[in-house]
Amino acid sequence: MRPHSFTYDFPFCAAFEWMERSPIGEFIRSSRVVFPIVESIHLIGLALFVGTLLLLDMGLLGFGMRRQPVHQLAVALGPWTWSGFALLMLTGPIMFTGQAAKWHDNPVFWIKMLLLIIAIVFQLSVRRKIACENPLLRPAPAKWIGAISLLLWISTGLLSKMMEFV
Amino acid sequence: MLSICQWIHQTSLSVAIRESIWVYPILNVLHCVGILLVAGTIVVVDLRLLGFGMRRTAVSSVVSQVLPWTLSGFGFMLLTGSLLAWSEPVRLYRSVFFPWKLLFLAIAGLNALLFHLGVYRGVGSWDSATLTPARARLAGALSILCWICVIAAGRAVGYETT
Repeated sequence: MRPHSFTYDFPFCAAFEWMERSPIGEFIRSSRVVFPIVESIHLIGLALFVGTLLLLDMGLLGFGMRRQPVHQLAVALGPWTWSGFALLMLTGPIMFTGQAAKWHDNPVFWIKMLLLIIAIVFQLSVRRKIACENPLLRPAPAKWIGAISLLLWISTGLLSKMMEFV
Repeated sequence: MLSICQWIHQTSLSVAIRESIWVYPILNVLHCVGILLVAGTIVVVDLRLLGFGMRRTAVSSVVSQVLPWTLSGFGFMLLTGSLLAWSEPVRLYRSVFFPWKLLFLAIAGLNALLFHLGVYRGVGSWDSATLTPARARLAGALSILCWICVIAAGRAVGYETT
């Protein structure tokens, strides 16, 4: 892969260029199989993350998983959701480093990162504190929390795939 | 087989998907969502069978609550996947990884079918057990393994140059 020349003047140009040319960046570009392997692990982490998150959000929305209280569901599924998240956080930056400068120029990448931060903050604050640890949560706020959580993560996921095509 | 693929390749639907700017990416994105839905929800059932997750919920309760989501994801994945395959049949015919992907998909499906027709029939006797019968644990492990292979092979298809 060729070193990238910038078309947009986003911040952090130099840092992104440095990342792409670092030994990790070089390693990822050194062989054709490294990136697909890391990406597959990323997707497996995503499946674990999205699947367990979806079931919990459906519980909050009242569309599924209705036979146990939401906080109990959260306790059972939580560790797996966060294991999936750990896999994502481990493999995502590795993939990014290989083509840092290319992503720097991709507007969809920046929107994704913004949404990701919002989603994580929402997850750690509202959804976890209010929805999952509170057995007495009333249905209406639970529905809103489930819907917002789903919306945030689905749009983050859609953008992740979409940014490959921009 | 190749001539069938070549015939599909020149159908108007195939050409339309291939040549439009947005249809292929959108189908691709939706296909990914579908497979995440399938693999991500079935893994919850598998983890329950293996005794790693949702241990306090009865097996049949996990299965009946999760399965609708897995099946709808599967339908979604199948529909978008068929359209994607329809748009580039000749490339997939020459692909090394695509047959592997189909093979693992078939094993995953067969595994699920055998589980439901076999050991799951007698779920009543081990419904709330943490340690499920060996055959159920085997089905759970095989399912996780197959879906990992389906995802990895599917991703590899995208990077192949044939």
